[in-house]
Amino acid sequence: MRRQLLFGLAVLLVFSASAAGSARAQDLEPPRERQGYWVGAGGFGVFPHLNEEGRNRGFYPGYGFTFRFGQLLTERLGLGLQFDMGTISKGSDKGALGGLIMEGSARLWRNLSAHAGLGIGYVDVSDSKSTDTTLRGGAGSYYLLGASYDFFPLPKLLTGGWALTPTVDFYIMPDGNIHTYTFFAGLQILRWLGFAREKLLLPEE
Amino acid sequence: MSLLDSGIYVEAPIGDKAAVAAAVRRSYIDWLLNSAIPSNAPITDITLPRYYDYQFLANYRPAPAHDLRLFVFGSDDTFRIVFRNAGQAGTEVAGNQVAFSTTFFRALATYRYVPSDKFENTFRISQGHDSGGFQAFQFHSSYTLDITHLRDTARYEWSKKLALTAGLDCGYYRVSDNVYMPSAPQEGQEARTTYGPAQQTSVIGANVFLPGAFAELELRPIKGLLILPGLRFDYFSDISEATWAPRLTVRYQLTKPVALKGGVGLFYQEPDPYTGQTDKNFGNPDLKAERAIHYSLGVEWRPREHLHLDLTGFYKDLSNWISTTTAIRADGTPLHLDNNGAGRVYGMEVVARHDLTAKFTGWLAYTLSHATRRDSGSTTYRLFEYDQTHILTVLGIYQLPRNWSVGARFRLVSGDPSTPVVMGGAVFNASSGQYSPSFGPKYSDRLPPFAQFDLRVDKRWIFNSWMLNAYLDLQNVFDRANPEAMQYNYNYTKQQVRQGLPIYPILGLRGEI
Repeated sequence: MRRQLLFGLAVLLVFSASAAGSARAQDLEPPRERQGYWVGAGGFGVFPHLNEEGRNRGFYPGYGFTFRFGQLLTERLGLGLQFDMGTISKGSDKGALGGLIMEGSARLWRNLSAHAGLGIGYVDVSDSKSTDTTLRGGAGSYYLLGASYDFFPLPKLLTGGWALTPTVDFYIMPDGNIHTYTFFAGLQILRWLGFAREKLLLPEE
Repeated sequence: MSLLDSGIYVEAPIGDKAAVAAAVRRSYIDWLLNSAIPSNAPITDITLPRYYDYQFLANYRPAPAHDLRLFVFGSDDTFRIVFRNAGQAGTEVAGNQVAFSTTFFRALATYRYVPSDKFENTFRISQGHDSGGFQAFQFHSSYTLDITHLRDTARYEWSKKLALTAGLDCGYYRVSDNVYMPSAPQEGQEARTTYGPAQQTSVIGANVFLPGAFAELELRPIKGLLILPGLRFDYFSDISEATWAPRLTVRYQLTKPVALKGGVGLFYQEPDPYTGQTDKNFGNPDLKAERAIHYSLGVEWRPREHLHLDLTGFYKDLSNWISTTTAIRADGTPLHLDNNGAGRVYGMEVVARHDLTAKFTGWLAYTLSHATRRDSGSTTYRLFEYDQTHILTVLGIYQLPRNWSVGARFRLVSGDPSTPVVMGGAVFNASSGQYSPSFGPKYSDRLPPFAQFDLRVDKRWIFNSWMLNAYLDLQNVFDRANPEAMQYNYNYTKQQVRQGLPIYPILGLRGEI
């Protein structure tokens, strides 16, 4: 409980810093690629480690997808929502995991950003070769720390654009009958919607 | 619209003197849960928790001195489970159904008359209807209650130094109920582990009159000093008792940001008819009203325009307290309850409030208290069954750019006192087929504390003629297993805490046109 609380507080601090740091009202901004709303989806390899009722079950590799949307509040800081789902397996065990997360992000350098989140997650497994088809699993608090980089391969637009975003995330779900910490590594396609022209600070023509 | 319920709210002006507003809401958690319950669950039929509620408000100001208001509201909650095999609930029960329902309706009319700076009068009348029922296997209770309430408050100001507020506060209730249940444990009694003998009681159309009146002076003899002596009269017809309750409150503005305040007052509370305290089968019809004298002393400090700090100490002396008793009447029937109990409560409360500014609003409230009771026939005080030593609430909402806002709330409350069960000390009762536990000293233990952190994020989109608000509300973010009560196995050799709600999200949309 104590480790869970400390980790959760650390995530909350990062989340709060990204939220509270964006204090100034936003007037006109110079055009950028990472600007305005973002919306996207992507595929991931997932590598969760399961601990079931005190027993170390090892890693259950799998794959999944994610859906994200949010908005940059300032040049650096953003808030959004992320939804993940994946399937996992190990031997005859098959299962699924995922979650819904409130996410805060902070741009560190160029298009490299760190993100942290809090939400609710789930994991379940069942033995496909057993006559007992009872689902084992649980749901509970879900914590996220991760990093991503936005590449804009297409010709540059005035504002916003399509991005290919490799992402590495680390999740913890410490509650329930099955605890898990999970590595997500994958690629997302994000669309940055940019700003309307009247909200951009453009050089005088 | 959220994952739990949906509602609609409409507000519109009618000319420039009137306005109306209406709202209705209905839950659909029953539809969601019904689809999640497996087909091999040990139930045959279920009406899952569902509620709906409604409100209507109309306001009319024909002239500046007159304000008329009509407020109508109500709600309906219900829940029912039918078990496949009621025998799993124990050998003492018959029947296979657990159900709960409650419905209420109120119509409240208010007329406020302010003809001048010196006089104002507010008249309120309300009419309501409550009904409900509870069933647990062969035990059941049901009630209907029709309520009429009238309150009139008049204030006259002779000068800046003297004003008088006086009024009437009258209620009339018509009650019908039908109960077939074992008597429930009263405060201070250990929870029963087997059902006692069921009692049957029925009341049809009992009338209860509760006339009351009050008066309060406002005295400002010197600058900064406000003295409020007051007196309240009540008559409780169901126990045939009239009470007079004097009160005094004083407030002194020491400096512009600092004020001292204090008060003392006598308060009465009639026996609770809803728990059968005055019923001849479950309680004692000869009970009198409970008494309490409240003392308080505090200071308010306003270091900034938007910042309020309040520190108050309090003490309550309870007497004529309703307590269980083993005494017997002359005819040999048990008394059940009498007024020979007493109690004490003391502590302090701190409140810090930050008014809404451009970015932030929030508050912190902390109460430190200690509550004890003395049972009838006893000479010593024990801990109150619901004593909560620490109660902390912290809440804040921060406005972010681009119409985002983030809110958080943290609550921490001491666990309720509990009477420990001696593990392995239970005795088998052959007649009931169940084990009866052996208890340790009363309220010598406590449940673990309640702690919960909630987080909410809102995003608003503002269009030409309407607004859309989306929110995600995460209750119990850290998924703390908050304790509700202790649970035991069949022979009281193992125990575990029964937990409250886990983490749950509420995702919603709200549109304003």
